[in-house]
Amino acid sequence: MLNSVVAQFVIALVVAMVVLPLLAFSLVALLQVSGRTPKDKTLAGLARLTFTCASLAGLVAGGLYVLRGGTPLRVAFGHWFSLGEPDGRHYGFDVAVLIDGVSLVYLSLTAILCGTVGAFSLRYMQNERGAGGFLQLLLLFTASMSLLTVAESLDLLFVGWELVGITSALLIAFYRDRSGPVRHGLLAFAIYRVCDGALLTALIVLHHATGSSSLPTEVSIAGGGSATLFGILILVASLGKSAQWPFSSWLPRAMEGPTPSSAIMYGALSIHAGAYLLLRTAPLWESSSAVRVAVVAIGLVSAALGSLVGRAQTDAKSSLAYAAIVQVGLIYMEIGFGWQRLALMHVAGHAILRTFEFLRAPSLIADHQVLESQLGNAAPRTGALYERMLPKKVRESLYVLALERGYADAVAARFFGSARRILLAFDRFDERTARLFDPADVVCRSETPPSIVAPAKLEESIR
Amino acid sequence: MMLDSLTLLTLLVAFATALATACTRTGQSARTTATVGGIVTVGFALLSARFGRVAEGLGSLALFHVEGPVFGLDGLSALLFPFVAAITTAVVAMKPTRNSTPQRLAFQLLTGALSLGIVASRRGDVLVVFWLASAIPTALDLRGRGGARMFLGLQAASAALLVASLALASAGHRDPESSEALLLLAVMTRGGMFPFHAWVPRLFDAAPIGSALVFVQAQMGSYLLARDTVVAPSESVLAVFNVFAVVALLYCAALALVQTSARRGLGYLAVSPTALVLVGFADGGQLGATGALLVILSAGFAQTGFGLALEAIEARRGAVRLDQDGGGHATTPALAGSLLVLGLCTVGLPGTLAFVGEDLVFNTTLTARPLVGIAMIAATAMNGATVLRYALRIFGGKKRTNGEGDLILRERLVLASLGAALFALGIFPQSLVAAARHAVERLPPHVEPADRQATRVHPERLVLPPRAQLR
Amino acid sequence: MKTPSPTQPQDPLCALLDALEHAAHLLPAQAPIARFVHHNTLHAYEEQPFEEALLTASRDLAAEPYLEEERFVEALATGRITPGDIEAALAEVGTPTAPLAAGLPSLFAWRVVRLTTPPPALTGEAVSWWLTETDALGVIRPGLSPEAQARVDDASTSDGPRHYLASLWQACANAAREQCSPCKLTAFVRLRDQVLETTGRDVDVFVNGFVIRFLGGYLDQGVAYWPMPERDGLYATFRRIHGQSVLDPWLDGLRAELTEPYDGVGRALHELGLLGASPSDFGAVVHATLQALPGWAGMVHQFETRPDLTPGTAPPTTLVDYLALRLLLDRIVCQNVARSSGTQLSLRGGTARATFEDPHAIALELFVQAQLQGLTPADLAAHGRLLARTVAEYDSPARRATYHLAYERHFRNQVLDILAVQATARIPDPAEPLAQIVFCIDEREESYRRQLEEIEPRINTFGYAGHFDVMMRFEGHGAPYPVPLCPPILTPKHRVREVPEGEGGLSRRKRLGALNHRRRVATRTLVRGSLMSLAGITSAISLIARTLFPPVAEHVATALRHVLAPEVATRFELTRADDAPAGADGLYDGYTFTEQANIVESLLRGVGLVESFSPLVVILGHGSTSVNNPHASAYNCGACAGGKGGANARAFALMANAPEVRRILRENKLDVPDTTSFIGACHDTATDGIEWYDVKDLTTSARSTLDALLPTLDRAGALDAHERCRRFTDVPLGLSPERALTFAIRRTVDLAQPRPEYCHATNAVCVVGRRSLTRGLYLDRRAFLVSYDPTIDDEEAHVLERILGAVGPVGAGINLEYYFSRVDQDRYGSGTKLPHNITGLFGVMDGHGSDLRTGLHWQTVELHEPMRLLVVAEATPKTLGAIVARHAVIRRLVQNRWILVASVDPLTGEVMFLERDGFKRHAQDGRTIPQAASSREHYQRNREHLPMAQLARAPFEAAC
Repeated sequence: MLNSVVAQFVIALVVAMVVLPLLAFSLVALLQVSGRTPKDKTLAGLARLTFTCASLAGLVAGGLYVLRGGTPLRVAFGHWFSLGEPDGRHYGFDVAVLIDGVSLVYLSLTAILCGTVGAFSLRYMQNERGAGGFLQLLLLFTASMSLLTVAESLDLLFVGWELVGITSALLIAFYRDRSGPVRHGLLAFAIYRVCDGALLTALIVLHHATGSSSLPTEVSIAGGGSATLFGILILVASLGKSAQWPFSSWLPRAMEGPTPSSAIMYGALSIHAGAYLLLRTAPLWESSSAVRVAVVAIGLVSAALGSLVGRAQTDAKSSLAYAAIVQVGLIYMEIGFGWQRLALMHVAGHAILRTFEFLRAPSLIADHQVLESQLGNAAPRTGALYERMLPKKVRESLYVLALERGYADAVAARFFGSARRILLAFDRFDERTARLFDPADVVCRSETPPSIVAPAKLEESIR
Repeated sequence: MMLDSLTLLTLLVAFATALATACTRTGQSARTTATVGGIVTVGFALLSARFGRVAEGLGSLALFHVEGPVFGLDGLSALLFPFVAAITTAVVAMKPTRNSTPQRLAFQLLTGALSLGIVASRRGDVLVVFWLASAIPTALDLRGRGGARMFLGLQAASAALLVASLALASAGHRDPESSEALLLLAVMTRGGMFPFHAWVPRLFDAAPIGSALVFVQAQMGSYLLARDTVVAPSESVLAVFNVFAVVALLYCAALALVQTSARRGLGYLAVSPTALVLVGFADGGQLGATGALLVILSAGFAQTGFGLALEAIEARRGAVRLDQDGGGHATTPALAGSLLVLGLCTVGLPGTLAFVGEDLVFNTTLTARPLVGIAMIAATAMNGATVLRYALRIFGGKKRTNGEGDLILRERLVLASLGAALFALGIFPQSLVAAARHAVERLPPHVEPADRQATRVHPERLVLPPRAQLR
Repeated sequence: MKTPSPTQPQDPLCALLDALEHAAHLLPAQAPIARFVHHNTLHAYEEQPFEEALLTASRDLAAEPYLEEERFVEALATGRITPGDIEAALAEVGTPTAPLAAGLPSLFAWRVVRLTTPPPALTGEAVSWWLTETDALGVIRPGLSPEAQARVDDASTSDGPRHYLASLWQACANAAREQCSPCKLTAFVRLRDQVLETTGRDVDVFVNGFVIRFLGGYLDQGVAYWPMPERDGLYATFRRIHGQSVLDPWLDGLRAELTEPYDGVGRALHELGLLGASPSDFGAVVHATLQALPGWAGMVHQFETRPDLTPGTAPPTTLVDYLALRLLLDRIVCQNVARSSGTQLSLRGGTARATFEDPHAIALELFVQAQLQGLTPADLAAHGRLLARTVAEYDSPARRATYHLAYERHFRNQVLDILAVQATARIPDPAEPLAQIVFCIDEREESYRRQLEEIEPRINTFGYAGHFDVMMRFEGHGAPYPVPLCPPILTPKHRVREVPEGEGGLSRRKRLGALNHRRRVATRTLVRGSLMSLAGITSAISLIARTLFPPVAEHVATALRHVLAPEVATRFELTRADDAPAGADGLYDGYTFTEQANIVESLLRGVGLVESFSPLVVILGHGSTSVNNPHASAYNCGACAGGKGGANARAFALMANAPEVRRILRENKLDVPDTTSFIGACHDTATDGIEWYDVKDLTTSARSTLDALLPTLDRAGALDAHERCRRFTDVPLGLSPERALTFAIRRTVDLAQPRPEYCHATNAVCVVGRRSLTRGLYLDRRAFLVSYDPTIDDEEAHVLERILGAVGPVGAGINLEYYFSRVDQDRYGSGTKLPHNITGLFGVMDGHGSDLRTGLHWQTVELHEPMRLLVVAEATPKTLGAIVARHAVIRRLVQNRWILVASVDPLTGEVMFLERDGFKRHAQDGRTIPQAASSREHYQRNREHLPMAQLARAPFEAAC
C-alpha cells in the first residue's frame, strides 16, 4: 500500500520534471505570440523557479525510487491519438513513462546538471542580448531531455529526441549575427536529421517486430534478423547526438554558443543521449552479436581517433570536445561488451566532470599561470612520446591527420560537393524546361537596380 | 434540405466576396472586404462541414450524372472545405498593402472559391469545369511575369486528362486501370509531381507569393487523389505511381536544399506534401489514408504560413536570397520566430499536426514498403534542414537590414492563427484523426502486403514483459 | 631556395616589404592576451586629425567611426544631447548659414532639423513598406515649426494633406532617382571577391578555417598535448606539414605547388606576380589579404616583433610567410571553387562588381525634411537635384560626426562648469593630515578617494601613475617568468627579485604543481581520462559548490591552498652597489641608492608632497581579482603593463624608507622627517580590500597610526563597493554598504560572473592639478586624477610636461581603446565574452575557429560613453601651449585632437578650452551646478550616469 503511494508520488515528480519546464516555456511562448514578450528579469525569475522545482523533483524522485527498492515502474497515461480498427486492433500513440535504473541515472543527471547550469546561466547571461531566448531554449531542453529519459515507448522518446536536436541546433546558432554559428548550427541539425531518420526507421521496425513501440527492461527480441536490423538502426541513430565516428565533425564546431550551453549540451547531457538510447534499447538488440561488435567497433574507432585528434587541438573548447568524444567512445565500448553498470557510472562521472571543465574553460590561462607558478618554471612539454616512438614522416602524416580532424570534412566536402553540383545541374535543367514554353518572358529578379514605389501604384494606394 | 444548401451558400459567399473585392477602389478597402468576406466564408464552410453533408460515404464521380444535388459534402470534402476557405482567407488577410490591388485580391479569392467548388462538386463534369477554371486567375496573374503559357498548358492538360479518365470510367470501359492511370496523371500534373514539377518553382518564382500559395496549397491534386483512391483503389496503378512519388519526394527535397532563391525553394518544398499523400494512399489501407489526409491539412496550413511569412519578409526587404546572410534577427524577432516555427511545422515538429500525420504515413509505408519509407524519411530529413536553413540564413549574419519593422498586428494575427491551428490540432489531434478516419472508412482496415510475412518476426519468439500497470 | 635579392630601389621586393610594413601597422597591435595592455586602437592613424583618421580607418578596416546613429537619437530623446548642443556643434564646424537657394532654408537650418527630428532609419524596400503600411502618406509629420505648418497648410487641398503628400513623395522620389547614379563599378582586389561575386561562394569560409587550424598549431603556447612538430618558420613548416597528404577537394593542386622550392618571400612575390599586380598595387592586395583574418595576422606580427611577450617560447614567425601561404591558399581554393562551379576565374583581376546606389533612403529623407521645412512639391521640382545632393552628402558618418561633437560638448560643459566654480572656491588640503595616501591616477580610485575623504577629511590623497616610477622587470616568488611592471611603451632596465625568507616551501609547491599538471592533462586522455571520469561523480560536489555557492567554495579552496602550499614571507632584492654592472640581458639587478632617491624625489615633487609630511605615507598600487576571465590583465593597473601594482608600491616604500635614500633626498632639499614612514600596499579594485606589505618593518608609531587607519579604510572600501554596486543590475539598490561589499566580493569568485567589475568603463576626464581643485566634487568615477602642484613647478613647467608626457598617451590609450571597442564591437572590440574560446594561450576566438578577437569585450564597455579624453590641467594656457609646442607626443595628440585640452588658471581660476582655433574662455551660460549633501545621497537608487556634483563643503572644511 505504502509502496504504491510512494510509486505514485515518484511518478508525479517525474511528470512534474517534464511538465514544469514545458509549461514555463509554453507560457513565455504564448506571451510572445500575443506580443507581450516578458522582460528578461521576469523570465529569469520564472526560469529560476522552474529549474529549482524541476531539479528538486528529479532528485527527490530518484531518492524515493532507490528507497523503494529499485523495481521498474511503468505507467500509462492513455493515448495521444489512436486509430481504432474494426477488427479490434488499433494503432495508437501511447503516452507512458518508464522508470528504471537507466532512466534514474539520467534523470538525476538531468536534474543536477540542468539545475546547476541553469543557475549558472541566470548569472552568466545577465544583460546579454537575447538572454530571454536562451533561457527559453534551456527550459525546452530540460523538458525534452527529461521526456527522453522517462519515455516508456520509442515513439515518445523520439519526441524528446527531436526536440533536443532542435534546441541544440538553435543554441549553437544562438549568436546569429555571425555567420559561423549559423553554418555550424545548420551542420549539426543536418547530421541530427540524418540520424533521426534512422531512429524513425528503427521505431517502425520495432513496431513491426513486437507490435508495439514499448521499451522493455529485459531481453525481448531473442536474436534474429530484426534484432540486428533494429540494433544497427539504433546505433546509427545514436551516433549523431553522441558525435561518434563518422559524425564527429560537428561537435567541435558546436562550441559557438555561450559557455553554459556548450557545457550542458556537449559536455553533459546531449552528448550522452546516444549512449542512453543504446542502454535503453539494449534488451532489444543485445542478443545480436553483430550489433554488439558494431557498437564496440564504433566506440573504439571514435575513442582512438578522438584521442589522436584531440591531442593536436589548440583551443580550449575543441580540446574538451574531443576529450568528450573519447570518453563517450569508451562508454560505447562498455555498452557493447554488456557492462551496463560500468557504462552508467562512466556516464554519470564523465558528464559531471566535463560540465565542470567546460564551465571553467575561460580559466585556461589563469590555470596555466597557477600551474607554472607552482612548478616555478614553464609547464613541462607533453607529447614527447610521439616524437620518440614514431619516425619523422609518419609523425608528420599523423599530425596532419590530427590537425585536419581525421579528414572527415575533406571526405564530406568531396561527396557533398559532387552531389551539390549534380543537383544544381538539375535545377538549371528545370528552369530551362520552364523557359522552353515562354521564351520571351523574363522573370523579374533582384539583379535589376532597386526601384522606388512606382508613382502609379502609389496613386492607387492612396486613392 | 435546408441544411445541404449551406454548401451552395458558402460557394455563393465565396464568389460574392471575390466580386465585391474586385469592385472596390483602393487596395486597403479591397483587403478589408476580402478579409471580412473570407472570414464569413470560413464560418459558412465550417457550418456546412458540420451540418451540410449530403452523403456519409463517397459517390463516384461520373460525367453527366444527375442524381442528387450538384454540390454537397461528404466525409472527405467536409475536411477540405473549411481548410481551403481558411487558406484563402489567410492569404488575402496577410497581403502587404503595397502588393494589394483589388484585381489581385479578387483573383486570389476567385482561385479559392473555384477550389471550394472543386471540393463541393459531386458531379464529374462540374468538377472538371472548376478544375480548369481554378487555374485561370493564377495564369492571368502570371501574365507578363514568365511561365504563364507553360502553367496554363499543363493545367489544361490536367483537365483534359481528367475528362478522359472520367469519360472512360463512365463509359464502363473494360479496363478500369487506364481510367485510373489517366486520373493519376491529372493528379500528378496538378500536384507538380515529378516529372511534371518544373512549373511549381517557376510559379513561386514569378507569381505573387499569395497567388501561388492559394493555387498550390489548396492541395487540389491531393484532394482528387484522395477522392479517387477512397472510391476505387487500384493497387497496381498506385504502385507504379508510387515510384514517381518517391522520385518526386527525393528530387524536390534535394533541390530545395540547394536553392539560392527563397521563392524557388518554396516551390520545391510545396511538391513534397502531394508526394507524401500519394505514398500514404498507396498502401490502400485506412492507416496510411488517414495519415495522408492529415498531411494535406497540416502541410497546407504550415506551408501557407511559411510562405506568408516569406511574403512579409519580401515586402520589407525585396527578393530574399538564401546564399547571403540577411540579418535582423534581433530587430524583427516575431518575424524571425514565425518563419522558424511555421517552417518546423511543415516538417513534423513534435506537438504539431504534421507530426501526427507523418507518424501515421511513415508507420504504414515503412511496414508495407520499406524502401519507399526510407526515401520518405530521407526527404523529410532534407526538408527539415531546408527550413532551418531558411530560418537561420534569412535572419542570420551581421545586421545589414533595411531597418524594417517587425510583424504588424494584422500579420501577427494571421500567422498566429495558422500556428495556433497547427499546434492545437497537433496536441489534441484525436477528434481530427477520428474525422479523417471516418472519411476513409470505405477502405479496408489494414492491408497486409504479400511480402509482409518475410520480414515478420515469428510471434512465439517475441517475449514481451508484462506491463506493470499502476492505474 | 628562390629568394630574390633587392637590386634596385623600386623592385618588387622593396615594394612588397613596404606594403607589408604599411599593412602591418593597420593590424591589431594586441599582445598575447595575458599581457593585455590598453592602447589606442587606431595608433597607426595618430598622424591624422581625429575625425579624418576615423573616416580613413573606417574605409580601410570596414569599421564604424562613431556610435550607432540610433544611440545618438536616443541620447537626444533623453536629453543627453540638447538641440542647443547640436547647433553649437554645427557652428563649430562652420556650417554655412546662407540660404541654399532662393526660397530654401540655409544648410545650417536644414541640418539642425535633420538632426533634431530625424526621419525613420529605413533603406531599400523597407521605405516602400513604411510608406504603404503606415499613414505616412495620410498625415503630416509631427514637429513642424509654425511657419512650415503655414506653408504646408497652404499647399494642402481642402480634403486634407493627402494630395500634398502624394505629389511631394513623387517629387522626392524623382529627385532621389536623378541623384543616384545608376551603377558603380568597384574593382576586385582579391580573387575571393571575384569568386564570391560570380559563384556566390565565399572561399574565406574554408580558407580561414584551414589557416586558423594551422596557425593555431604553429603558434600554440601550450594548449595542445601534442605540439606541432619542428616549428622552424611559418612557411617552411606549412610546406612540410601540408605537403604530406591533402584530401580536401578545395586543395587539389596544393601539394604540387608546395614542392616548388620557394621560401616565404619568393612565394609571396610569385603569387603577386600571378595576380598581375604591379609593385604599386602590392599595397592594396597585401592589405586586403591580411585583413581577411586581421586578428590572426596581427598575432603573427606580434610573434615576429615582440617574441618576448609570448607566454611560452615563440617559434620563428614572419608576417611575409603568413602572407605567402595565405596568397597561395586563396589562389588554389579560388581556382578549385571556380572550376567546380563551372565559372571562369581571371587571375588578373577581370571584371568589377557593379553596385547600385539606393535612392529609397534619400527619397525618404527628402520627403520628411520637405514637410518639416514646409517645402512644396513645386520647390522640390525646382531644386530637387540640389536638395537630393544636400541629403546625399550629409551621410550617416557625417551626421554622426556632428552628433558626436554635440555629445562630447554636452558632457564637457558639465565638467568645465563645475571645475570653474570649484577653481574659485577650493577646499584646501587638511592642515595636519593623519596620513597621506598616494593612489594610482586610475579613475576607479576616484570614488575610493572621495569616500575616504568624506568619512575622514584629515586624510590627504594624491594621484600618481601606478608604477610609481619604479620601472622594473619583476621576478616574483614562484612566478615562472619575469614580468615588466612599467608602462608598456617603456622597457625596464632594472630587475627586482622577490625571494622567500627561508626555504619557502618551494618543493612542496613543486610537488603540488606536478600533481596539478598530471590531473589537467589526464582528463583529456583515453585511459587515464576514463579513470578520472569514473571518479568524476565526486566533482559533483565542486560543481554544485562552485556554481551555487561560490563564496563558500572559494573559502574552502583558499583554506585548502593554505594547508597544501602556505604563503611564505618574502623580501625584495632591491639595492645594488653603485658599481655593479648590468647582467647579460642588459638589466641591472636592483637600484643604487642614488637611483632610488631619484625615483622617490620625482614622485614626491610630482605630486607636490614636499612638506607637512604625516607620520604615515601609504603608497597604494592596485590590481583586480576575477575568475574565469581571460581578459583578467585588462582589469589590472595600466601603468604596470597589465600587472598588479602592489610590487611597485612595495618597492617604492622600501626605497623611501631607506636611511641612505633619505640622506640623499635631504641633500636635494627634500626633507622627509624621520618620524614619517612609508608603507606599500595594493588596493583590489574588485573586492575593495587592501593588501599591506612589510608591515612588520614599520616603526611602532607608524604601526599604531596604521592600526588606527585600518577601520577607516575598511569603511571607505565598503562605501566604494556600495557606490560601484549601483551599476550592477543584478545587485539590488538600497543595500547597506556592508551587504554591498559582500555582493562585490562574491562577483570576484563567481565562475558565472562576466562582470567582476566595470574596469575603466565611463572614463572621460583627466584632471591634472592639486587635489583642492577636485576635493569635494562628485566625479562619478569618470576622472583620472593626477596630482600636480603648479606652485612648486619651475617657470617652464617641466614637471607638468613630464606628467603630461606620461599621462597623455596612457590616458588617451585607455580612453581611445574604450572608445573604439564601444563604437565597433565587431572590428575594434571583441564582442560579447560569453562564447569566447581561449586558443593557444595567446588569444580568444568567438566560439569555434573564428578570427582572434582583440580589443575590449562588450561586458566592459556596455556602460561606456565613447568620448575623447578631456584633459584639464592646472596651468595657464600659455604654459600649456608651450608644452604642446615642444613635446612631440603631446603635440600629436593635442593638435590632431585625439585628446581635448582645457586649462584652469592656477591663480585666477579661469577655465579655458582649447578649441580648434586656440584657447577660448569657457562660458557657463547660466547652467546650474548640481549640489548634493553627500556622495551616497547623490548616487543612491540610481543606476545611470550621474551629473558631476558639488558635495556639502562643511565636513571637508572642518579638517583644514
